[in-house]
Amino acid sequence: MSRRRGENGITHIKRWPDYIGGILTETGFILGLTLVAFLLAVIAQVIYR
Amino acid sequence: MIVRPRKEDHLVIGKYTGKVITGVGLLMVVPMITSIVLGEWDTVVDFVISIAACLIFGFGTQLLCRTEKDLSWSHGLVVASGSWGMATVLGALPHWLSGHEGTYLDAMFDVMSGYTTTGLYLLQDLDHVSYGLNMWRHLLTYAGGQGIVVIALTFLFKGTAGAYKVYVGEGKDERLLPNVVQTARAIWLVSLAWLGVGTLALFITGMALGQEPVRAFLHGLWVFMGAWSTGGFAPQSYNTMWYHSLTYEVISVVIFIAGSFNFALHWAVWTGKRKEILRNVETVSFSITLTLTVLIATFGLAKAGVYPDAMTLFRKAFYQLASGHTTTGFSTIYSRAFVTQWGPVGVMATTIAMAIGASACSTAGGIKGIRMGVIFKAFMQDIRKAISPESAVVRAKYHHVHDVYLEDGLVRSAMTITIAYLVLYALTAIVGTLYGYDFLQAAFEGVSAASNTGLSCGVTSPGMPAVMKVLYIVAMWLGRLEFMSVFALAGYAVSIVRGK
Repeated sequence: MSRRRGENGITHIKRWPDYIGGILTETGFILGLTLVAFLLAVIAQVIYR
Repeated sequence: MIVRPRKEDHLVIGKYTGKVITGVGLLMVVPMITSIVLGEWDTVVDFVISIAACLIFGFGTQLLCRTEKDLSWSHGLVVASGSWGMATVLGALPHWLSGHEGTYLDAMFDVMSGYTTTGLYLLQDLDHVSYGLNMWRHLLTYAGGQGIVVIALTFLFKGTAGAYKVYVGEGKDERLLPNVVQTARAIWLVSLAWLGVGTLALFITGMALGQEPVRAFLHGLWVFMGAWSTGGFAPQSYNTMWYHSLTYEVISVVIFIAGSFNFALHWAVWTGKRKEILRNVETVSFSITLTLTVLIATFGLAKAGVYPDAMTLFRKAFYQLASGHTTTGFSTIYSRAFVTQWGPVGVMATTIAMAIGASACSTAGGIKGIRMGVIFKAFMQDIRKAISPESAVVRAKYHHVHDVYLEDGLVRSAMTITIAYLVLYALTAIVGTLYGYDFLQAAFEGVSAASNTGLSCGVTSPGMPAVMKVLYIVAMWLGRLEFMSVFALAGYAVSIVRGK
């Protein structure tokens, strides 16, 4: 009984590849937004140089 | 007719408030151990006194208020706001005993700022504060980000139905898992996993920058806590500008934007729904409004020729705007630079970003992306209705983990809270102006406090009028708990006096 509960628990080892994938997905999304901001800065600097 | 609360109501509110304050006392053990390890004996004594005060109040209240009755909805709201109020009064003890605060009001200001993940502070000589007190400041903001009630739910409450009502009272209403205690634990799992990854990344960067290991670790941990909780506290008075490092800035941006995501979004992405991050109404709304405000500030600063090249412009504009929009409050420019360098366009763009804020059920403050999304969808629905044939049925929906159809009640709720925020922003701006500050600066600082951001253009200082300190404390409290809990506490106080 306790073994089954452990496997279904949110901290079980089998869940961690999914969790790490989640962290990487979130990081990729944020770096995408950062890249857009960088491109805006380049365009603004080119226009007003 | 106002109904006077019965003895049972007082008992159940007292019992659960006592539990939360006990949790605050136990939390103080962490900074006390930090001080013991680092040999800061004066600070150890400060924490022993403070822990004793919290435990005497916490256990004393639970002893006096013994009852088997469970919480009702109104009890939950009163416990949430009352606990935050009491936790501020008692949590201020280590600050005040440290001698770094001018008055007890200043200490309470800093603690409320920490719990509410705001980041404004009145503490003096921050660069020479003990490691223990710095640990307490950052732990406050990390714990406040998850919600001090979530902590109590996780460790001190049994899985009662009433526990959910306190959880909602703290401004979080998402159930990641069927059970509220499991939900609280899932929130902690997400936060602790990010804590490990984020602290490690900042620690390695700190070492590469030349910090010695203990200092690099503590700075990494504290900056993580300030970023993840969208709190904005940092161990140095120059905030994150102190590090002068692009890598440190990028890592902290990733952490504070991730910290500003809804925990339901985290959980969906972490459990396999990867595309949720591109479809969710909150991330879509955040991406649009962040890009627009960055666009305004970037072009305004480029036109004024404030920064010499595109890289510097990007680093300064994006960092401050992302920090403002996620209501973090980290800054890589001097406070007064908002006024002296950025000018009205930059200040306005940052103020708008702070006012909107980030996601609901996250560590962030402000109006929130989901409300912006709902109001925008309702607006578009009304336009479509107006141009459609009379017999046409026009329905709008938005995506938040699953598709949700717009109902009048949902739109009304979003509008009510949005208007409440706008009134609070206006009030803080007007009071600041009445005390002699420039309107734009008063609005910037007021919005920063009420949206729990913490960016400052120089208004917040120990010499600020006491009335403004109290107003900002209340604004931070109202903004973090999204009004209803604090109004319920006020209603409870009125019903004691005037109820029949």
